[in-house]
Amino acid sequence: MTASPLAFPRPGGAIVGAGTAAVERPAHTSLPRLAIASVEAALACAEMTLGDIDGVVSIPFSPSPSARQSDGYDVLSARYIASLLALGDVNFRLDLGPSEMMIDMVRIGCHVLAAGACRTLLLVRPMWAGERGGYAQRRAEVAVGFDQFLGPLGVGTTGPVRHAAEFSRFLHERGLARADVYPVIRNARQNAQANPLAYWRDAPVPTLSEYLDQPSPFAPLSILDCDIPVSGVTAVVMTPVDRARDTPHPAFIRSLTSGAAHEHLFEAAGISPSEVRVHQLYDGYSDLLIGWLEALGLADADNLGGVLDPRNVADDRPRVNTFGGSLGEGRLHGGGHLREAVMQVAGRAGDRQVPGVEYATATNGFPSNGSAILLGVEPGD
Amino acid sequence: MSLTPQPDDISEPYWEAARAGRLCLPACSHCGGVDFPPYPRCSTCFGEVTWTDVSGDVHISGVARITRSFSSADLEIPYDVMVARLDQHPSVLLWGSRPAGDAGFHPGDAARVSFRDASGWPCLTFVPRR
Repeated sequence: MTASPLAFPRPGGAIVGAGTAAVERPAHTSLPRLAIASVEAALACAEMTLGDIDGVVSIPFSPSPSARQSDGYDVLSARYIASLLALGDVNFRLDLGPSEMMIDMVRIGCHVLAAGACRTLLLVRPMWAGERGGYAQRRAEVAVGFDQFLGPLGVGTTGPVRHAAEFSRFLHERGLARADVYPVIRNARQNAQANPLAYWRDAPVPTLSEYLDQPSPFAPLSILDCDIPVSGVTAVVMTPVDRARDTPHPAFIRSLTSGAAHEHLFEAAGISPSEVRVHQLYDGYSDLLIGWLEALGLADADNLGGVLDPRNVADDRPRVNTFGGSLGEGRLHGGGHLREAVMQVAGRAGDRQVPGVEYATATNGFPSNGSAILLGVEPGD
Repeated sequence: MSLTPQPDDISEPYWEAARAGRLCLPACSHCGGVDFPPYPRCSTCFGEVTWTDVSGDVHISGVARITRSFSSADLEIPYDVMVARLDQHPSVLLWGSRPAGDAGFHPGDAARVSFRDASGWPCLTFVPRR
């Protein structure tokens, strides 16, 4: 029954603006105010106004087990955002569920634009970590669905506890040691220092021994392997290709993949991986980044030190997570990765700009079921 | 506090067998695939499934030691979480937990499925196999 994996060679569509106004922990600004500021940043990038937007997509879901999932507090629905921005009756409005991330929104945006449902689509991913900003505890008494097999084991109730055993399995099945993962941490935290948004921008880069000796409530995974919960909103503006040509900083969507099709990301766009100088790879947990390097065919797990070296800017090797990734910036659920890929293609990454960028990738989620995108400065044939 | 499972019309055979100390999983009559967690139909080919006792022989794939309470599960801190592959169906990953003891598991260890009582429910765990 398995359908063949799909790669979309020319999905059509472009990202003409992206922005995250602030990353806060603990939050001192409400989520609606964060959203307005981020949308304004994305529109400024596109040299557009609120009046241009005629479609809204959001993911009104907070991943914290103790979240209230209350519109206007810790989540923002597309309906709420349309009112928040006084957009009136937009032509298209859609809420996506908890399984989706930023690049999934872009994929759906391509189809919405291609169908002519709207002309300028606003994608919003609000993330709210609360006033305290800590990891939540769940106090349920009954476990249902898949959780009936995990919750009572003390496994399924929070991300890091479950992922800790998966992290152990990841290392075991590849013959890696924890020290082999350290380049991921070093790259993230060093690059975060050049990102004004990053939660860890002013923090020193942990040394290898600090990483290895970090006490952990869920060893062998450590807190340094986990992205930190933050509050922040990523906003992205999409248009069809023809309209994007009239904007100042378009990033054209060259290919999109999900699940088993990631190895086709580059060939679907008719290019070679070696033509891509910069990759923004999802790192909600450190080992996911290694998994993405494997899934995209960019590196093997035993050659990470060479790939994940911030000094690569001095030579031709690719740069990874120039903004610090989720491990350096904070948990925006893939918003930061897409935003940085757009900024690199648009030539607007400031001090972080990699020279001569023609293409950039971004990925979201786990390699096994997440999504990847290839952006380019040209729309392609 | 405790966190107890709520069986449903999909999972009932699993819990009934677990209470008797047996590992029973849905096996596909068409492709032979085994699922865990269970689905009403085979997750590979949508074939009809028959609940079947399977060997609990596993190899441990990953181990984590939890030293802080994150949930209301009936477990003393510290405890170990293990993920293991069934020897006869390596695509099936099973999760288990146990109080942290002197003889913890390591990835690669041979083990066998067992069930321990937690608030009256059979909770999946592993015991060493030599």
